[in-house]
Parts: sequence; C-alpha cells; structure tokens
Amino acid sequence: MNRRGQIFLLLTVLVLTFIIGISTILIEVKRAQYYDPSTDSDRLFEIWDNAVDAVQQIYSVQIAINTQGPGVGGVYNAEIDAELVRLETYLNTRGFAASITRTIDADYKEDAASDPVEARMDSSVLIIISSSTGITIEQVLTINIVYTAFQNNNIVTITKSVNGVTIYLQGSTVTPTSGGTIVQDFGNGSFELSGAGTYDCLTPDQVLLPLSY
Amino acid sequence: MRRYRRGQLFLIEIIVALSILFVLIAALFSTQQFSPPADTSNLDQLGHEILSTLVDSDILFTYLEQASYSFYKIGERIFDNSNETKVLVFDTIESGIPLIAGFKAYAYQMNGGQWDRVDIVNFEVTLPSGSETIVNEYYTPGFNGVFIEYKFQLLLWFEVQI
Repeated sequence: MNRRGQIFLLLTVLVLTFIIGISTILIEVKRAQYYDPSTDSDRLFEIWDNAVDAVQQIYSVQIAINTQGPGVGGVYNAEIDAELVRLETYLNTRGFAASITRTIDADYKEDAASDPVEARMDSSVLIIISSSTGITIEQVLTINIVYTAFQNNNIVTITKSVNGVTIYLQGSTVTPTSGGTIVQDFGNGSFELSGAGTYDCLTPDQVLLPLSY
Repeated sequence: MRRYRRGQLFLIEIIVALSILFVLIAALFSTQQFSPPADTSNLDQLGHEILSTLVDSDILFTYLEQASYSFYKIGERIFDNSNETKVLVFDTIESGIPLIAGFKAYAYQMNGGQWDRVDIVNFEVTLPSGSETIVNEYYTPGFNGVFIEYKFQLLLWFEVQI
C-alpha cells in the first residue's frame, strides 16, 4: 500500500515534467512568429541604406561626367534613368523587388567663373523596395548635391554637400594648370596656393572644378 | 506469489526512477528555451555598420577605384597588400569585429554584364568549414571616364562556435 502510493507520486512527477516539456515546445512555436520576420526587415533596411547611397552616387557620377570626360551635355536625364534601372536590376538579384524612378528632371548647374566654383545637381527620386515577406518601404528622395571649391586668401577648400550636409573632401587633389604652385596640402581638403594662375581641383569621385586665383 | 509480486514492483520502480532521472535531466537542459534568445549572432548588423563606416569616410570608394585600376590597368590579380588605402580598409574591418570573429572581403566590378572579382582583402585567410558565414554587400556606382558599378562583399564568421 505504501509502495503503491510511492509509485503514484513518482508517476505524478513524471507527468508534470512531460507537461512542462510540451508547454516549452508550445512557447517556442508561439514565439517564433514574432521574431522570424525581423531578420528579413533588417536586411531590407540595409538594402534601403545602400539604395539611397547608390542613387546619390549616381548623381555624383553624372556631375563628374559633366565636369570632365566625354561631355554628354543635356542627355544626363536619360543616363540617370538607365543607371537607376541598373540599380533596380542589382536589387532584384539580391532578392528584393525594387522600383526606382526619377520624379523630377535633374537640373545641372556649373559655375566655373565665380567664387566659389561649384557644380551642382538637383532632382527627386521615388524609391520603392519590397522584401519577399511583403514588407515595403516607399519614399521620395530629394537629391541636392553640390561640389564646391572656395578660396579664402591663398587657401582653397574643396567640399561636397549632400542635402545641406557639408563634408570636406580629404582625398582631393589640386594641380596647377598654368602659373602658380601648390605650397602645402593640409590633408583635409584644403590646399595652400602660391601665385596667380589656374588650378584643377579633382575630388575623390572625379569631379573637376577649374579654379582661377 | 508474494515474492514474485515484490520483484515485479522493484523492477517497475527501477524503470520509473531511471525514466524520471532521464526526463529531469532533459528538462534541465531544455529550460534555456524559457530565457530570451541569446543575442550572439549580431554579425549581420556589425557588418552593415562597418560598411557604413567605410562608405562615410570615403575609404571604400578610393579603395575600389585603386583596386580596379590595379586589376585592369596594371594587370595584378591581387592588389598590393601594403597599399595605404587597402591597409585602412583592413584595419577598419578588423577593429570593428569581435576578437573571436574572422573576415574576408571581395571587391567586384561590373564588366559587360558580369561581375569581375578585382581584389580580395585578407587573402591569406581560408573560409571556415564548420561555422556560419554572414555576407554583407554594398553596391556603389563609380566613374573613371565612363559609368561603372562596384560591389563590395564582406564575409564575417565566428572562429569559435557559439
């Protein structure tokens, strides 16, 4: 009798452990639906960052093409469209459905005569990117990129401004084209010049700004 | 009869005791499922941060241009390891990842509809066989007379399995 009670007790413990085990599995199953899609959305945000950078870079490249190299003149809108399609293709190969369209014609302005010397492009692009799980990001991106070489006494500084945020272009080079010499490269996008002459300022992304001092 | 029943009970008791021990040990190990999932594999996020750092500091772009020049113009399969920009890329990645993590990176350039692998960072390292590798990719257009496309692929993994 005593022994039977003992076995009953042991069986109770056994059943309890099984119940705990089964409920653990149920919790796992229940929780999975909350954290599974998050990995995908993380990827989507990374891709989104990359797409925004790439679109801005496409415009930077167009500024570079217009300031030097084979002058394409007024066809840059068509070129930008073709390059946006290539970006779409790339995003598709990464497994994301993408639609990137220019909503406003790109407006290119170059001002070589005045001080500061600048080359700029303004436009607007609609980006829609969807992941396989159906999460979509859609936004109109305003593009406003200005490359500037401005001089202060005999110091010239080369900057790039994207949507109002200005950075000093460290990797730039300045070469004298006629007269004048470079005294010092400060290594932060600024150069000390000596003597009157014309200089070619080249940014790391190949934008050429002719400066006369 | 009495002796036979007692033996039977003893046998059942042993079986029950053993199975309880087994199940208890199993339950002990499975209790870790009650705690929130461990945040160990954040290499994906880390890779993205490193790429952002490289892009924002303009190092990546300069590196891709130089690697492309080395591959197509000079004709070297692997871009010089002691190059200043390449060392910067190497150091930025290495200082950004945990000590127990390894990395390798590939630079590609679009050439007539296919990606050419123009350079490898951390060439000496072999990819792990028993570890999960996280791949982060960054795409960027560039210009060297004509419009070109680059992509930079960063592979990260843990040297020790977690």
